[in-house]
Amino acid sequence: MHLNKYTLCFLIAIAIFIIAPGASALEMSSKRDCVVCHIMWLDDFRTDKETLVDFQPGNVLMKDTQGVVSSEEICYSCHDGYIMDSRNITWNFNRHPTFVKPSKNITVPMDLPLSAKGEIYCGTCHSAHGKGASPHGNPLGRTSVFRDLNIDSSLCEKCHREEASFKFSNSHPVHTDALELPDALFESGGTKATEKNKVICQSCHKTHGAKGKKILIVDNSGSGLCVMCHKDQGLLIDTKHDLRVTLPDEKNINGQPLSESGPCGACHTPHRASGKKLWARPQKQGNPATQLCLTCHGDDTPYEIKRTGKYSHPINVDPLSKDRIPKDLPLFAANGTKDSNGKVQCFTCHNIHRWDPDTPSDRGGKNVEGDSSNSFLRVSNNYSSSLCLQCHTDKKQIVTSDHNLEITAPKEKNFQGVLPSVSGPCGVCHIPHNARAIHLWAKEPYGDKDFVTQLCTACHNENGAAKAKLLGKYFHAVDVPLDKFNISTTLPLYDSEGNVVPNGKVVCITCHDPHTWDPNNPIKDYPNTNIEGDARNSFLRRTNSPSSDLCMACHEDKAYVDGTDHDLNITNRDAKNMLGQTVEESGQCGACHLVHNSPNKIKLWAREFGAVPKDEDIVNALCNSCHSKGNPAEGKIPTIASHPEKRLVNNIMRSNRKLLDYAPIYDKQTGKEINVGNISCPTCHNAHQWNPVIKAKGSYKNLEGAATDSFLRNVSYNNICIDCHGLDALFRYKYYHDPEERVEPLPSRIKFSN
Amino acid sequence: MRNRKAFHKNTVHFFLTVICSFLFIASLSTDVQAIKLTYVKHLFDITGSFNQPSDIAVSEKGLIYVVDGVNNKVRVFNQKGKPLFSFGRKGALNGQFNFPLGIDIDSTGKVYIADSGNHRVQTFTSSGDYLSQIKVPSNNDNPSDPTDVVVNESSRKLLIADNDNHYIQSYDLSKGVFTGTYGSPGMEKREFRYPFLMAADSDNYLYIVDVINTRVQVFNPEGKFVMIIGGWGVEKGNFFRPKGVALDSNNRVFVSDSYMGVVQVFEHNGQFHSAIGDRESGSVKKFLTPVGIFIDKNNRLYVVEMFADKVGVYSIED
Repeated sequence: MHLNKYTLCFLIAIAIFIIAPGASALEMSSKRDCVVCHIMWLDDFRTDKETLVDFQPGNVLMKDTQGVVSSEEICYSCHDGYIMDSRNITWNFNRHPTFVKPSKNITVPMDLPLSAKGEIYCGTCHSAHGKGASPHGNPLGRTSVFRDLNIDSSLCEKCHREEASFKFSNSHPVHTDALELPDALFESGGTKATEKNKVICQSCHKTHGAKGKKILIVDNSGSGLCVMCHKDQGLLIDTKHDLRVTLPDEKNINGQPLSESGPCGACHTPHRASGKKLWARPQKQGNPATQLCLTCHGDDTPYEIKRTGKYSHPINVDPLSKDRIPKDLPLFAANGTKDSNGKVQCFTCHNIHRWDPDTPSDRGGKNVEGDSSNSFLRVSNNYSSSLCLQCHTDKKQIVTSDHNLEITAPKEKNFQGVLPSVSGPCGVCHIPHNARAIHLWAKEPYGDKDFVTQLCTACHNENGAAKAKLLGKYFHAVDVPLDKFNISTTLPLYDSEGNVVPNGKVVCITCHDPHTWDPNNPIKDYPNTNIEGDARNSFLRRTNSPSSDLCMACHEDKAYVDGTDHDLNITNRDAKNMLGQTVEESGQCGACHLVHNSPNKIKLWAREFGAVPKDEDIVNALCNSCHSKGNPAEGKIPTIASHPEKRLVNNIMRSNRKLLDYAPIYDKQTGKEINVGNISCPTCHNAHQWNPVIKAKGSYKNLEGAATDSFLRNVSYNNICIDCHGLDALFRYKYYHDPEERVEPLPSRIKFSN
Repeated sequence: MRNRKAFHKNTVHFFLTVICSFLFIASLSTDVQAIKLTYVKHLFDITGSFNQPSDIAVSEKGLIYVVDGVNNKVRVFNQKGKPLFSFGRKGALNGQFNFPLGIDIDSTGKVYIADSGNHRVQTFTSSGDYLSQIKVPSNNDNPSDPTDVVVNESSRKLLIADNDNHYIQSYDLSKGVFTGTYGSPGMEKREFRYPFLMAADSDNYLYIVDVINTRVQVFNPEGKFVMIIGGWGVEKGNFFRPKGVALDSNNRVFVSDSYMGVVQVFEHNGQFHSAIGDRESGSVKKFLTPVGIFIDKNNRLYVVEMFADKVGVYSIED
């Protein structure tokens, strides 16, 4: 049998171990102070005498092996008040889990040992031989019997790396000081960091003596801990967004019921959230400041609660313009953070944590239907639509106008049955979600015309709230395209769905901006009663007096009347139209034309027709309404002003109103343009232009005319007279109103009865 | 070559013989010596809303007072363990507690509580009404930590264990005036490392549990050192975490050890007598963290099991 020297040494070692049972313990050091904790090092276990406790084998010096020294019993034997009283801190409440294996989210570093079973135990974090022995702890992280320093929870973060890397793991921020941490947090057991307001793990967690689950410093099942810092968000409690009220069976992504997660935890989880905002529910792609809301309010969710509907306020859009960025409402960047250069999102208008912006103590409740004063709006919207007008500043005049139905029609409800006093001025006609139609329309449709017309006729109908303001029998053409008349305009034209399009039609809101009573001078002291408008206001897009800028936006060729003798601002400011309006009130155009409620179909004439003999062209009556005795132009009554009858004139070659030789002929009765008829005043006169060859406004002086101007339509050498009279035409043309010089004898029938 | 092989063979035989011999000797030596037991009969447990209770005392009238320190209360029970009343709540005002630990009751029924966290001893009537307090002074900058109190009525002394300062403070019982200290920090006689619960015998000798020195020191009424009971270890008569001490009518000394979970009995002269035993198993009875103990005039042993949140009540059979 052969034995080498190694075998011999092995046998000798075994023999020595058996011969001297206490020798091993002595080698480990059985100094008394060590044995205060290292009980198994006692020599007593290596004698033949009975011991009062059993020897527990296990090499306590081996790394990653838990010995008796790190057992809870050893710790408690001193910390039960007999050396240090840790009963309340360590054993009275919750504490960091021990004797469990670290979760898959935890990576325990090599220098923090686990037990032989791979479990966390007291000695994982604690060691009497650790780096930072300081009896009562100090700000530099020196805490009694910690294995390593714990500066601002650095020891925690050695294992909880994901939580520490909060940006990557969607966890609650740490090492930031965005909020002021309240004293209540620290009075409740939170640990102050080395810098004021810096959030650390131990701001919220206590490894020992935690009164809440998840070793939170206090019970957070009612989110009491969250709202210590997030006070404003605490206003959510007991509102509809407190899911305990509305969806009591809900669970968050961690599977926590509401009784465990608390109201905040229903939607937010402090660690490993599904996305931004610590979201604790499934999160969709897109801007969090909107998508979080759609988690529950989206049309594709199982929750049939307060969906936005087909017609809803646009989101993820830029503000209306750079100069209309709301002051009190936030915009959001793509990552859901507030950004003044961002876009409009749900969070722009809604503060989902506060039911009532004016009365935060009002929490609403499960069965309380919201309105524009609450509904988690950031700003109350009921009285003056303050919320809407934050962005829609150009609509501000609605509040001090007849279109504020709270003043002019307080009983008029929107289609949801809400009164103006509740909906606010905007809410009468528009609701932000679940509207009836585009433009967020909130009124029942009225009539059978296209949608855009219905917007106005919803109130402006015979039974509507605005029945005193109807169009009348004759009114300006609507629902007509301008290209039919070869007219272009700078005013908005609309398609049938209410979209502004270049080749659209003229509709009410082409001329009217229903939100702006006076385009130039907003009312400062609205009398809170219905006021009568005129051409300077009346929701016109442009003021129409003293210059008829609005009319001229389309009727460009009529703009030359400005400053001529036919501008009553120049020649007769006191003259009134059929509505009793002076030219200042009616505007230049309104002196002769009524856009609404005209009794006259022809040219929507605004004055009493002048007298014309039987069989005379009706269009002459328009001229005679001023150019007759007792009327504004009685000084300009032609002695003779008619063409012989039965000598019908054909103007087929002069019917193009764009050409200089245009010479219209009118039907006697209807006043419509025809091609064969008699000559009437407008055949030769263009009432809107003083000089036929100068397309310009007048001189703003009352001028005496001559044969080259005087509102003549054409130059004398190219007038319609030459079509029949040839070379004699010039003579006839010049003396047309001169009874003495005219070629024909004066027919009695055209003699004016003066 | 052959001789060399034979040498190796003989060597192997030699070592194997040696090993087997020692294995045989070792197996004989593992026959442990049995520990003498004093059996107790379990009467009942007092449980309820305790939170890590620490000490107990029984009045002359038989009322059981338990210091329920983490709840900052003293709970009072009758002899059958039925709860009667409690007093105290957390705070620093008169009658309030900050994690109290020790208790004693004088012959008149006056209750003395070591209100550790408030650095004072408070006295109450037997019904829990606040009477007075002694503020236990700091030792320079080191705050006092009064963990137990013993009333010596014959010598009119009030003795307070100052755990963190490692000495015993003496007060005039009538006036509440500080009269001196016993001991100092250390491991020698009359020196302490975390003195804790105390008891007095019928001759007013003071028995002080010296926790980290793993012993009970005995002082005479004048404060002179008399002897040491127990020693360092886990064998009979040794302590690892001695916590509570009590004396029976024969002045036998009972000492609890919270880590080992045992109560040992010593003769009046300090010699080991026995360990409290469990008759059913015939072995040493195990308690869960026994701390404060008390033996009343009916020879009933009360054991506060701190971690178990209960008080076990036993009759001592011999």
